[in-house]
Amino acid sequence: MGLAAVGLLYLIALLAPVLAPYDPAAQLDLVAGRLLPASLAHPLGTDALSRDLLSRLLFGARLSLSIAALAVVVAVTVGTAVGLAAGLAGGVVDAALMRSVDAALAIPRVFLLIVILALWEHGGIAALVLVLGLTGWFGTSRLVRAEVQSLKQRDFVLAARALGLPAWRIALRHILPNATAPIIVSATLGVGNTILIEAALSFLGIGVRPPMPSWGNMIADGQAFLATAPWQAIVPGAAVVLTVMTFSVLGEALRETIDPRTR
Amino acid sequence: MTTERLVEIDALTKRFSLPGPLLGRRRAIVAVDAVTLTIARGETLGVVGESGSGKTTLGHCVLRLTQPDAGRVRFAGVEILALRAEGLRRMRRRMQIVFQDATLSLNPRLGIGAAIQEPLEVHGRARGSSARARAEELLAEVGLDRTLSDHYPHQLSGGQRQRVGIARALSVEPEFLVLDEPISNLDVSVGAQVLNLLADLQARRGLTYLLIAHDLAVVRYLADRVAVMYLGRVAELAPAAAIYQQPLHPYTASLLAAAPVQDPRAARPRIVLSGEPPSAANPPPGCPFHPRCPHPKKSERCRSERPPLREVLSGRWAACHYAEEPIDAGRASHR
Repeated sequence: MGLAAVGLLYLIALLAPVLAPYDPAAQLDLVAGRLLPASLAHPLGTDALSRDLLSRLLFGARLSLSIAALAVVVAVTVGTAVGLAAGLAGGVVDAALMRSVDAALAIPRVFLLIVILALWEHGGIAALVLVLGLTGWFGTSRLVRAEVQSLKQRDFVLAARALGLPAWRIALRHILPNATAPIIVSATLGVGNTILIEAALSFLGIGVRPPMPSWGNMIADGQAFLATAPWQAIVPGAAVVLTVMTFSVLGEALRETIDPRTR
Repeated sequence: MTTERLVEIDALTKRFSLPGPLLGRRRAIVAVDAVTLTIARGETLGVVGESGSGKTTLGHCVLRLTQPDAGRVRFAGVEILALRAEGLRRMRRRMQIVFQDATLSLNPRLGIGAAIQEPLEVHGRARGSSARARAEELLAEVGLDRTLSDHYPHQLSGGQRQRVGIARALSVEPEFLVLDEPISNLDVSVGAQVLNLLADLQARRGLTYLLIAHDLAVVRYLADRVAVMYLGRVAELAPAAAIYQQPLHPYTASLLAAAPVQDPRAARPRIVLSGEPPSAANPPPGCPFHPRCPHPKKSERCRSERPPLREVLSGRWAACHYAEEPIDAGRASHR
């Protein structure tokens, strides 16, 4: 069910240009069309610049979901590589990598993101993806390391060593495929979390910048009209909440299905 | 049996350190304590002992799956512990291991055929379709249907899995196999079939076995000579027939007396050991067996002086001060 919901979300995001009734950036009628409530012409009303809110929401979904997915791909790749290296090498390499991760985890992620993005002002969406990805792999690396440490003691890995298989082959063919379950679960939960952080950054004006619509900057735009036109902030806010919840549900469901320990 | 010594284990020692108290010294467990054994080509040496006696660690050290702390292992004259990575990898073709539990020793994500083909390809023995054909031949050799090569380990029964483990070990055409409790996780009848298979393979391929077991019956079936281990040391070493006839070490006698016999009315001595085996982290002084020893002559000497493993009778070694006057257990229990 979680899987279907996430699939639906990505389908909506993918089909945003088809589904959206208007151009999300078009200012339709700056005189009479501002802050309109929901109507047949504008199912979710319009914003302060007379742009169609539903269209913006759909295009926002497209951006938010892609940014989160790409950032998580970066994070999982780096986290898995570091975790695998630390878990297999052990000793000094492991200690150096893991203490660095501990140090990085001690710095609040949002603070780190604000500083980097404020300094890297003109990086655009690519910079946002990269920075979100490169600050999001610490947890994954710890998870993978723990999994690798337990897997490398297992008899089938010992058997592979006894058969004289090269170390890289043991790592990629015998250890990594058996560590995928926690990686997939953590990636799924990571997408939800990244959407939340992206929304927060965009809300603060350093994530996705106007005029590109993102749920975060839509909430920011709407906050001035909370008293007069509350749906301006509530609609994108609800979208964030529902999406993050969907990923949590999917993550938990995956944990229960693919993790043999909970089966 | 030829007299060529294929495997020579010399004063092999392996310690494991335990986390000690917060500020105290780390404690060490001596899992294998200066064990010296040789295995002739074509021979089966059985190693028996309780859990924690160090027999599995010994097997791993011989193959250098665990790095020993001291001692030497020579295989066909080659110093195994002196080999560098590449030389060791080449040596691994000649010596293999069959694990206790094939559920754990087969990669759950790898098909049966792929698991057997992989070592063939890595060692350049066969590639592609010829590797696949060779893997199916190996499956047939261990008594499995060739069509199983498309299956995954969890789709097989325990006995089938263990046969796959044997086929995988044979894929690199080894001369020597460490059999680490190969049938202790199987049903009696299935286990007996696997033992027969191991005996057939040995006869056909001229294999040399180091057979690790806690079950004396298993060892009796396959082994030419038996080493009994207690707390990381060899307590007794003798030809299999002799050790079952008349054990020289009181520990062996008690093991034999504890083994079930088929006739419930058979008169046999009861030698019941008191207590658990002492912790290997804190072995008793003197003879490690003295706190549990049922020998009537047990004396102050046993408590203070550790008995060396010595040749008591021709080819029969025991680490007991009173090995010349053994407890009369073996004969009685097999009347």
